[in-house]
Amino acid sequence: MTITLSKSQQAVVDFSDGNLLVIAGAGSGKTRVLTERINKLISNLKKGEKILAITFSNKAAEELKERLISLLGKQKLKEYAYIGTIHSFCLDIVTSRGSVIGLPDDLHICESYNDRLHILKEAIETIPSFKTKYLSGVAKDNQIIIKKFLDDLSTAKRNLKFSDDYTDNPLIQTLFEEYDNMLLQQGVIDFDDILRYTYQILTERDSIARLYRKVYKYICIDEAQDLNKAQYEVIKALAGKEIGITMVGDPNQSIYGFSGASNDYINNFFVNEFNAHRMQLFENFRSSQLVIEAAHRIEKSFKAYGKCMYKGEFEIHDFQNEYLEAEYIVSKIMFLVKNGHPDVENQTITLEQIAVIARNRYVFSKLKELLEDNNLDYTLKVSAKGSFSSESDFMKAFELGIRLLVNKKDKIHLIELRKLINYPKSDINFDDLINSDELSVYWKNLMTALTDAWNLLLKNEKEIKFHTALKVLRTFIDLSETQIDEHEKILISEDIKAWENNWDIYVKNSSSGERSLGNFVRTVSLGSTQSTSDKGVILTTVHMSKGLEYDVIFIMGLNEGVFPDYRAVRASNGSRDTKQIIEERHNMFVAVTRSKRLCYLTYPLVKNTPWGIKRQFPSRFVLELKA
Amino acid sequence: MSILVSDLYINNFRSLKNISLKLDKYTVIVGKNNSGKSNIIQAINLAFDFSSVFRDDIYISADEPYNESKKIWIDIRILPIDEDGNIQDTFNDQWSRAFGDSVSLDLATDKEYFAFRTEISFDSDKEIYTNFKYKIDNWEYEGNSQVGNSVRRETLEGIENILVNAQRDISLDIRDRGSMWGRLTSNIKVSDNVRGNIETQLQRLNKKIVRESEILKSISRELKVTTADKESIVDISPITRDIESLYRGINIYYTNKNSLPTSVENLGLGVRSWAVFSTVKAEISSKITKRTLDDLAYLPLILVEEPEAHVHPQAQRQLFSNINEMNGQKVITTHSPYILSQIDLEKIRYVRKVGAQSEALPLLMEGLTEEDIQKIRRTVMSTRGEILYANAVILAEGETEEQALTVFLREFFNKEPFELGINIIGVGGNNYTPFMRILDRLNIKWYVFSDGEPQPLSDLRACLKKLTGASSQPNLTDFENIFIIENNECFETYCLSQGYIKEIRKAICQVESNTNYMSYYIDHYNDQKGKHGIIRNYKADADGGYYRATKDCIMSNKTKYPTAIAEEICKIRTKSRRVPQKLKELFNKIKENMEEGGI
Repeated sequence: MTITLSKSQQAVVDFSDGNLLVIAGAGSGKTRVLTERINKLISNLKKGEKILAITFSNKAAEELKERLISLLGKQKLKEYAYIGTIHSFCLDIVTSRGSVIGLPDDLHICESYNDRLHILKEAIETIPSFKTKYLSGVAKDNQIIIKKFLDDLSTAKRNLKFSDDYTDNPLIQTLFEEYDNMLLQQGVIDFDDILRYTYQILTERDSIARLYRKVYKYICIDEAQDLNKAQYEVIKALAGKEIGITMVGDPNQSIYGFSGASNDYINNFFVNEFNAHRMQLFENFRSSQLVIEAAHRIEKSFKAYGKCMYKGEFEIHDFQNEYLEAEYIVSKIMFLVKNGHPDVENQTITLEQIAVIARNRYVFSKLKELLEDNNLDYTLKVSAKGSFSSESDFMKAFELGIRLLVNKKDKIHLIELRKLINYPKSDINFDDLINSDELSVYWKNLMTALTDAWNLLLKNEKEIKFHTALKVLRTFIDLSETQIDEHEKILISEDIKAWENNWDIYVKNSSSGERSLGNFVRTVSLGSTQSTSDKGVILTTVHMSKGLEYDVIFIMGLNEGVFPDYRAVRASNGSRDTKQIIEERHNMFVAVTRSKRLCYLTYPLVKNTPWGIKRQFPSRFVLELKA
Repeated sequence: MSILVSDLYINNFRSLKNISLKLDKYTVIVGKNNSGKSNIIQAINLAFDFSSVFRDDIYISADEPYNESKKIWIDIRILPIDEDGNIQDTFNDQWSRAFGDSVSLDLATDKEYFAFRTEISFDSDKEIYTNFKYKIDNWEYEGNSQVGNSVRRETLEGIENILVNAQRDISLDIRDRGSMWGRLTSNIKVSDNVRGNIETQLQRLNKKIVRESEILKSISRELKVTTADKESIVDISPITRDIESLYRGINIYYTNKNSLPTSVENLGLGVRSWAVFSTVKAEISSKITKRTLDDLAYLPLILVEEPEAHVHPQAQRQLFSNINEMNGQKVITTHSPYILSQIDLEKIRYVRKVGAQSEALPLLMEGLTEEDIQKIRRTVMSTRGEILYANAVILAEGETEEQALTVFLREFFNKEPFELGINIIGVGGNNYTPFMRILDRLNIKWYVFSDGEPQPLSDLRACLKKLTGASSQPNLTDFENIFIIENNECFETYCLSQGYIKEIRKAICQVESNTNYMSYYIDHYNDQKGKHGIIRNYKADADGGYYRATKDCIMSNKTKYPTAIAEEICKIRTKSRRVPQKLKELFNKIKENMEEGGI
C-alpha cells in the first residue's frame, strides 16, 4: 500500500541536517512519518550499522516493527534497526556490561511493589536510628511513611540520584545505600535502576558508550513528550556528540506524568543542548471531521489535533426490530466493500477495516446469523484471551459459584463474588456467604435459585446435570416477573443460552471418563470451547475495542438500558451514584473514536424476548447526538 | 585480517572432555594417532557454523555415560590485532560493524574483544542436536564464562571457516558443483564485448565439428526427422555454447618437457591434493577482493587436516609454506616431521590422550630458557621431529648405537620400531638435554642406553645435572630408565666379553669381505706397536691372539662394525642368546612400562 506523504511529512522524512524535533499530535501520521524516516536513514547505513528506535510501550514498538517489516522485510529490519522501549534496550546494557560498575552477573528485575516494600523494610531494620527518627508512630502510620519513602526513592532514581547525592542527610544516604545493596544481594534491581545504572555505565566508561556509537548511527525517539530525566540523560550519554537524534512528540499529550516526565526535555533541553531543528506536522489524517465532531459532543473536553483532512460520514438510524437493524448493517458492509469510499485510503475497504461495536455480546446474535447467511467472515472479540464470562450479574454469580465449588481455596473469585452481591464483610467463606442473613432481599431471593442449581451440579459427579441446573435457573427467571429488570432478564436469558452452548461443545470434545466440573471450568477459561478465527469483520464489545482503530465503525444496539447499561442507569437514577454512568459515557466516546472515517449508529425500536415483544427506547447518547 | 581467534575451550566434544588452547596466526597441532588432533579442528569448525552433531559426538567415559542432557560447549575469544599480529585496544571499523554491540570490554584493561559460546544440546522435541551461540560478556578461561544474549548468524558472517582435509581430491571436486572449485568455476565472468566474440567463435566451432563428423551429422538428421513441428530447428552442440556453462567441461592439464598434457584425473593423489589448496587460495583471494570492495570485514579461518597426505617429503616442505602464505588464520594438524621442521616452536600445540580423554599442552615451550629453545629447535625439531609422535624414545650416544639398537629391538619385539612407536635416537655425544626436556614435557618415556666408558658417562651426568637442576652430579643408578654397560666397557667390547666372539669375527669378516680377515689381521699387526707403544704380540696368547686381535680390530674403527655385529648376534640359533643381557634389561623395562599402560 503506497500512500503519498504530505509536503510537511515529506520534509520530516527527508531532513538530513543534524538533530530534529518533530511536533506531531495524534492522527498527524506520526508513526508513518517515523517509519518512512527510519527507512530512509537505514538506506544510508553500512552493513552492521543500526538505527536505534526508542518507543514508550511494547505495543508501539510492535506497530513500528510491523510497518517497517512491510517496507524492508523482517531480515533486513533486524539487521539494521533495534526497535524497543528504552528499558528493554538499557536492560541489555545493564546485564551485559554491569560488571564494569560492580553489578553481579545474572540480574533480574524486581517488578513487584510488595517485594520492593519488603526489601525496604528489611533495609530499615538495619538502621535503628532511622527507625527512631521516622518510625516512632503507630504501625498503620509507619506503613504509610515507609510507602512514602519507597515512592521517594523511586523518584530520586528517576532523577538519576545515587546514595552519595544525599551526604547532607546521612540517614537517608544510609537507607538508600542499604536498599540498593539488599536488592543486589538478591540478584535483583528495580525498574528505575535499569536506566540509572545504564547512565552510570555509559558515563563512567566512555569506551562502552563508544562501542555503542560504532553500531548505532542514529537514534529516533517516539512519544518524546514522555521523556523523564533519566531517559533523557541516558539518550544523551549514548549519543555523545556524534550520533544524530530525531525526537517525535506532542507536548499536549504527555500521559506519563507520574514517571517524572516533563515537556521541558523536548521543548527546552533537546532544542538547546542538541541544537535541534523544530518541525511541526499540523494535519490530522486519522479521524474524519464528522467523527471528531460527534466525539466532541459526547465528551466536551475532547479536542482533536490539527486540521482534519477528511470529512467522513456520521449517521444514526433506527429500525422497527433487531432483524432489520442487522440487515441494514450487513447490506451497508456489502455496499462499502463493493464500492469503497473516497475518504478511505486508496478508496477501497476490506472486511478487516470494518468493526461493529456493541455494549454486550448478545446484541450481535442476529447480525452473526445474517453475516453467516451472506458468507461474510467475521471475528468475535468479546472477552480477553478467548475466555468466557457472563454478562448478567445473576449468571456471573452462578459462574463464580462454580469456580468456588471446584476450588474451595480460591480467594480471588470469593472476593469477586462478595463484591458482586454487595456483601459488606471480608472475612467469610463461600458456604456462609450464600446462606448469610446480611444479603439484600434481592440477592437472597436469587441465591435460593442459585443454590438449587449448584446443589444439582454437586449431586451427581459422574454424570453432571448441567442442562438440568440451567433449566432450574431459567424457570426461576421466567416466573419472577416483577423483581428483575427487563434488560437484566434478557441478558440472563442470553447467558444461559451461552452456557448451554459451552457445555455442549465441552461434551462433544471430551470423553465421559474425563468429564468433571473442574475440567469444564478449566476448559472454559482457556477459551477452548470457543472457535476463533482472525478474518473478516470484527464484532467487538466496547471493552475489547480499546486501543484498536478501524476505518468503518458500526455501533449497534444503542438502546437505553443496553448502552448505557441498565445497571449504570439504575444507579444514577435520582443522581445517587453517577460514577457508573460517567463510565458509560466514556465507553460511548471510546466506541465512536474507534472510527477513523465512517461511523454508523443504529438501534431497534422493539426487541424479541422469551416473554414477548418489548418496546425499546433510544440511548441517551443517541438523543444527544441527534439534537 | 585485523582479528585473531585467540582462545579456544572445548567441552564434551568427542575425546575433548575439557580442553583449552591458545591459537596463533598459524597453529600446528601435533600428537600421536588418535590423540584428538582432528577433533580440535572439527570443534573449531563447529564453533563457526551452525551445523548439528550426532549422538556419537558427545564425550562419554565409564564414569560419565551418555545422557540426553549432556551438552557440547565451545568457547571462542577473538581479539583485535594489527598487521604484525600485535593485540590492539579496539576493533577496526569493519569488525566493529560486524560484531556490533556483542563486543565485550576487558574489565581491567578496557580492551575490546568478542567472545561467544557454541552450545550444542539435544532438543528432545525435534530429536536433533541444535547448535546455538551465545555471547560472552566477561571472558573466563576453562569454560567458566557466563553467557548472555544469543549471537546471530550475521555476527559471524565475516569469519569463514574453510575445512580442508586429506580426503579432498580435486578430481572429485571438479565434478561437484557444491565444492569450492565448483562454486568458483560456475561463476566465470568476462566482459560483455569479449563474451559476444567468444560465443560467436564457440558457435562456429560447434558447427564445424558437426559438419566434419559423420556421426554427429547423421544424429542431427535423425533428430530433425523425428520432430513433428516443422518450424523447429535442431542443433547439436558438441561443446558448450555459452560462457556460463563452460565450467562443466573445465579440466586441469599438467604438461612437462617430455610428456603430452595430462588431465589431473590421471595424475597421482599428490598433485590432486596440491590442486585443492590452490583452489582454496583462489577462493580466498576472490572473497577478499569482494569483501574489501564492500567495506566488509573478512577472516578466512583455514582448518587443514594433515596436508602432507599423498605428498612426497620434499613437496611437504613446499606445501607448508604454501599454506602458511595463504591469507587468514590457519590451524593445521600434521604428522609430518618435514613440516614440523619448518615451524616455530611456539606455534606447536601438543595433544595426547589419557584414557578416553584428550589433553593439550597449551604451549610447548613455556618455561624453557631461550638457550634450551634454540637447542631444541636445532637438534630436535630440524631433524628429529618424529619423536613428537613416539610412544617411547631410546636415546643413545651416536649413530652406530642407533643402528645396532634398532637391530636388537626388532629382534626382541619381533616388530619394526615404528610399529611399536619407539624411536631410537643417537644424540651425538653430550646432546641429551634438549631431547630429555622436550620428552619430559610431552610426557613421553625416554631411556638412555650408554657405553660405560668414562667420557660418555661424564657427558651423560652433566646432561642429567642440567636437566634436573641438581647441584651435584647425579648418581646414574638412581635412574631406572638409564642403562649403562658395566666395567667401563663400550658396546663392542661388552659383546666380546659376553662371549659373542664368533659372531663378532663373522661380522668383521663380512664387513671386510674377507672370510679370513682375522688371520690376516693377526699376521699383519702381530709385531707392530699398538696403544701406548707396546708391541702387539698376539701369537703368544693361548688362543692364538684371536680375542685380543678381535678387540683391537673393533676398537680401531668404532663406527664400522656395530650394525654388522648386531645382525650376526641376532642370527644365533639359541634364541635366548640373540640379545645381549644389558639390552634385554632395557627392552624388558620398556615392555614392562608399555604393559603398565604408561606408554
